[in-house]
Amino acid sequence: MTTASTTSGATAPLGVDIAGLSYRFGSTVALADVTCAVRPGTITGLVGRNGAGKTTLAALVAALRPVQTGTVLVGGRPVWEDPDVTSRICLMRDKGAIVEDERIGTSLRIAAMLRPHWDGEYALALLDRFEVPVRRKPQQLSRGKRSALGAAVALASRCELTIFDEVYLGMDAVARRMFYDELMADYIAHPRTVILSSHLLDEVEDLMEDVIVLDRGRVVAAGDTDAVRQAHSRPGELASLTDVLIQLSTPSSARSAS
Amino acid sequence: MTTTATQTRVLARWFATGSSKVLAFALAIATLVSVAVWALATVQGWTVPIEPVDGEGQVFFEFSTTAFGIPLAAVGIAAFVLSIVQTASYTRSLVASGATRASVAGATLLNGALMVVLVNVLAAVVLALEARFAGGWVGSTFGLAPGATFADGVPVLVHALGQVAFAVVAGMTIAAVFLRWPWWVGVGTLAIVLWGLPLLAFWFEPLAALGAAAVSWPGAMPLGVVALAGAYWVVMRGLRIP
Repeated sequence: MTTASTTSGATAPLGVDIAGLSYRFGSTVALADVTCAVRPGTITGLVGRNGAGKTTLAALVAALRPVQTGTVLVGGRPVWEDPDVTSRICLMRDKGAIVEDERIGTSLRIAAMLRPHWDGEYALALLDRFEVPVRRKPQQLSRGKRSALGAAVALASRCELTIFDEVYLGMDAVARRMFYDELMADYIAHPRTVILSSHLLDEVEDLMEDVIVLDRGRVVAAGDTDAVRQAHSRPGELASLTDVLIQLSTPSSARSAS
Repeated sequence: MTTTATQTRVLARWFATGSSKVLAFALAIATLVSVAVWALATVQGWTVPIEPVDGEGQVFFEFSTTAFGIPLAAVGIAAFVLSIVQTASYTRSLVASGATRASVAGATLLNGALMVVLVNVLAAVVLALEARFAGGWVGSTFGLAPGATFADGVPVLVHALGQVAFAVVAGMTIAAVFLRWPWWVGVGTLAIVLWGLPLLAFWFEPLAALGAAAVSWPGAMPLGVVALAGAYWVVMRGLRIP
């Protein structure tokens, strides 16, 4: 059981406990009896192939969708419609928390209203660093700048549980490096729980203290990243997370057959 | 400790600030247009006959043509459009930013109530002006005859209060339905309500009589507003963010 208190003004990182979680989109099973935990105060990788269920899992943790079967506890509390919990969870992905057709200031004001630990100055500093023009509308930005905007809002929200779901899509290599640097610097300065969902495993695997590997809606490996890599290594050669994913993922032939 | 009440209060204030700005802008623009119409009418020597109100159609006709009514109509339409646009534009972003659905629904309902109050305060001002100037150079929004007083238009004003509230809550509910379900659910619902039911009433006489009796009942409008607000709340509480 991994929990942290959510008392007023506290910035204690929030842990996540998931038990027996299943979710279907009609006849499609997105998650099947998922049980796992995210330790508070860690950076946990959520990895898997396309369609593995990463985005659905993140959406359920952030209460963007109601749980169908199973339980999701954040900080030891059910997350659905609890404002003291939802305001401390930030899920940043390619759409959602940003108002696309109004100036960026609108999204910053919304975050300032709803995020208890919002740092507006830090947000502006990040937008400046990522060279995001603040007077523009998000829908007018390039994909990379739009991603940088999302990353900046998520970092400046300083939520006790911050989830990045492929937030750096479209960012160039320099911007991604800047993002990783900012993430680590702010993570150290303001400890929180971070979940990173990414396909760029080679870039982020060194950031991940823990990892959860999903395949076709099921958890196929979870735990300390080094231990998971070690468990799937050959003698004398430490497996990368990409190697782990290749070993654990259902072959595409089996996926299409099913 | 962040509570639903805290979030609702903060969001309602934010929505209300935005609504007030837009309604004030609509009022300013429409007043300019109205003044221009008045000046043109004065210069050209145009007159508009004043007729007593004998039905809702008459009210609407006068409403849209009177100089005082132009700002009122503009603000009323702006309130209806805002009720749709604010719900449609911000709900998903607010929920994804940590607000609960209950907070957003509560805040938008409070904001809707504020808009209804603002529109009706403006209507009262227009009514007072018309009571003062009715019979003069332009037609009457409320159908006031020359010599009529403010009190003569109050029943119409009270009826309009319910109509504006119904329109605003209906706008929010329509937006919520489109947010929660695929587009064809919203389109189908609107088609049934706006086209299917009237057609059914046309074919089935008892239904038409029942509808007419329900509409003429004094409690129909308040009950309709409450029922719509309840439906809006239920639809919003189950919202999924794709």
